[in-house]
Amino acid sequence: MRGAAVGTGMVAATLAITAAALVYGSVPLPWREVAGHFFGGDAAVPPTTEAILRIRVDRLLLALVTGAALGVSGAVLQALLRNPLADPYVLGTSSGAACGATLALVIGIPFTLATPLFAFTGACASTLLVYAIARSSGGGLPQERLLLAGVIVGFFLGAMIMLLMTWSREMLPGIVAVLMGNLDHPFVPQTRIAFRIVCAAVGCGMLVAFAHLRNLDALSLGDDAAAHLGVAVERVRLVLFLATSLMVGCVVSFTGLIGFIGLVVPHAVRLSVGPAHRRLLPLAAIGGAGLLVASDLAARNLGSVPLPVGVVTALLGGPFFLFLLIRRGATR
Amino acid sequence: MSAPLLRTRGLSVAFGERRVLDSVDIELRQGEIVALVGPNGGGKTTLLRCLAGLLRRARSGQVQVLGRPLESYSRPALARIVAVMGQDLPATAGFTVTQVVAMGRHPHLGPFRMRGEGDRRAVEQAIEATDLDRLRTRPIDELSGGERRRVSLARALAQEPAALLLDEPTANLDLKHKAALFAILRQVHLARGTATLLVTHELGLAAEHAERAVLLRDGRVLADDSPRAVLRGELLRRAFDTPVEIITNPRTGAPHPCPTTGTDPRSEPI
Repeated sequence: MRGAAVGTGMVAATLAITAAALVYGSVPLPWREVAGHFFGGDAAVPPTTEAILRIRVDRLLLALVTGAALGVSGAVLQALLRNPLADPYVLGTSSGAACGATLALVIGIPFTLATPLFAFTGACASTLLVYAIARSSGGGLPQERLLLAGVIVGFFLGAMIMLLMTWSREMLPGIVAVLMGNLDHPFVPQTRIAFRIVCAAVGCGMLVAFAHLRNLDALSLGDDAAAHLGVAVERVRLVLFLATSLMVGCVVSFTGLIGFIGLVVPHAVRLSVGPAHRRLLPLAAIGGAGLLVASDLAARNLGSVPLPVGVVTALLGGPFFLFLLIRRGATR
Repeated sequence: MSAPLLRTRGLSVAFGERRVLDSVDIELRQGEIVALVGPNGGGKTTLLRCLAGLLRRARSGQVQVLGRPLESYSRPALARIVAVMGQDLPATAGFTVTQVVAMGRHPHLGPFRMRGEGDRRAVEQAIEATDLDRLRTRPIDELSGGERRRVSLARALAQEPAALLLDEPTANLDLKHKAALFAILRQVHLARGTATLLVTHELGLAAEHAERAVLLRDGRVLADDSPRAVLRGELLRRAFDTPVEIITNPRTGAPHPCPTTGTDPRSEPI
C-alpha cells in the first residue's frame, strides 16, 4: 500500500526531525542527556539541560500543532474551492487572523484569550468576504476571481495592519513578530492555559474536517456532483470554512503569519498518495507538523542570529508556488 | 396505485426575469423509461436539476418524491432514491475511476461507516456494466470525454437509486457505447426496476427505448405520450422550427425523425 508506506515514512521523518529539534539549537545538548530527560536512564541530567529542554519542548509543541493545523486547513480549502493554489495565506484567512491579532494587541485587552478570539473573528470575516466577492459574479466559483479577491483582501488587511502600526509605535515589536511569523512564544502560566485552549480549538477544527472526509472527496468533483451524492453543499462549505478559520485564527494568534505550509504540504502529499482525503488529511497534518519543525530548526541554526520561521517558510514556499503556477499553466 | 416516484405540480423556475420553466406537470413512475426531448434552451436540464433537488430557491410549485414534498428529504436520503448522471465530470480532480465510482456509495454510508460487502458489490457491478474494467486505476483526468461519461454513469449506478436521471448521456459517445448505454439502461431497468428519465437529442434512440416521451419547449410541456404519438413530424416541426421527416425503423416500427433542411428537396424519405 502506497498510502501506508508514505505515511510510515512521514511519521518516521517527523519523529527524527522532532528529536533533532530537541538536541540542536543555540546550545547543542548531548543526545544522551536529552534521552535521559525523557526516558530516564543512567545519565544524570544537569539542571541547565532540564531548563533548556523545557523551553524547547514548549516551542516544539507549538510548531507541531501549528504545522498540523496549517497543513489540514490548506488541504480542506483546496478541496472546498477546487483550487490547488488555495491556502490560508493566499485566500486572506491568515491576513484576517493577523489583523485581528494585531488589533487585540493594540487595544491591549487584559484577557488571555482576547488575541485568539480576535484572530478567529478576523480569519472568519476575511475568508467569508473573499468567498462572497468571488461568488458575486453569480453562478459557480470562478477561480481567477477567487485568487484575485484573496490577494486584494490580503493587501487591504496588510494596509490595516500598517495603519495600526503607525498609530501605536510602542507596540511595534509585538506587531512585527506577528507579521514575520515566529515560534518564540514566552510560555508563562497564563499563556500556557491559552495554549491549551488553542490546542483544544485546533483539535475541534480537525475533528470537523475529519468528519467531512467523504464530503470533501465529493466536493472535489464539483458542487452539483456533490449535491447529487447527498452533500448539503452550502452548509458543509460554511461549516468547513469556519473550522479552518478557527484553526488558522488560533495558531496565528500564537505564531503570527507563517505562510506556505498550507500550500506546499497538501500539494506534495497529493502528488504522492493521490487526492482521496481519507489519506490526504492525516498526512497533511503530519507533513505540516514535520515541515514546520524542520523549518524552525533551520531558522534557529542556519544563520548567525535566529531567523523568524515565517521568513524561512516564505523563502521555501514562494518559489514552490511559482513552480506550481508555471506547471499548471503548461499542462492547460 | 402507489404514488409516482417523482412528480412535479405547477413547477416554474425563473432566473431573474427569464422564465425557464412554466408550470410543468410531469411524472416518473416506478420502472419506466421516459425521454425528455425538445430544442436547446427549452428547460430540459433545468427540469432535471429541479427533480434532483437543486435550484430550490429559484423555483416555485411542487416537486414530490414518492408522494412527499422533496424538501422533507435530507440530502443523503434523496440521494439514496435519486441519482444523477450530469453533463460533465471535471477533468482535474485526479481521482481514479474506482474512487469516483465508489463515491456513489457515499449517501448510503454517512461520514464514518466503512464500506461493506454490499457496497463493494454495487461498485463492481457498476464498473462491469459500464465496461470500465480496464480503466479502473486510471485517473479520470487522463480519460477521453466519452470514457468520463461512462464513469459518471457508473457512479450514478453505484448509488443503486430507484430513479436515475440522465442529462444527455449519449453526448460524446461513439456508436458502440451509445448502443451499450441504452442496453445498460434496459438491463438495470429489468434487474432492479429502476425508473429512468433521460434528457436526449437522440430522438430515434429515445423512440426505440423509451416508453414515454415528454416534449418540452420554452419551459412548457408540448406533449407527453408514447414516443410514437409524440415524435410526429408536424409536432416536431412546431417544437424545433425546422422541417422534419419521420423514417420508420423497419424492424421495430419506431419513428426516427430526421431534419430535411439542406437535403435535396426532391429526394424522398426512405
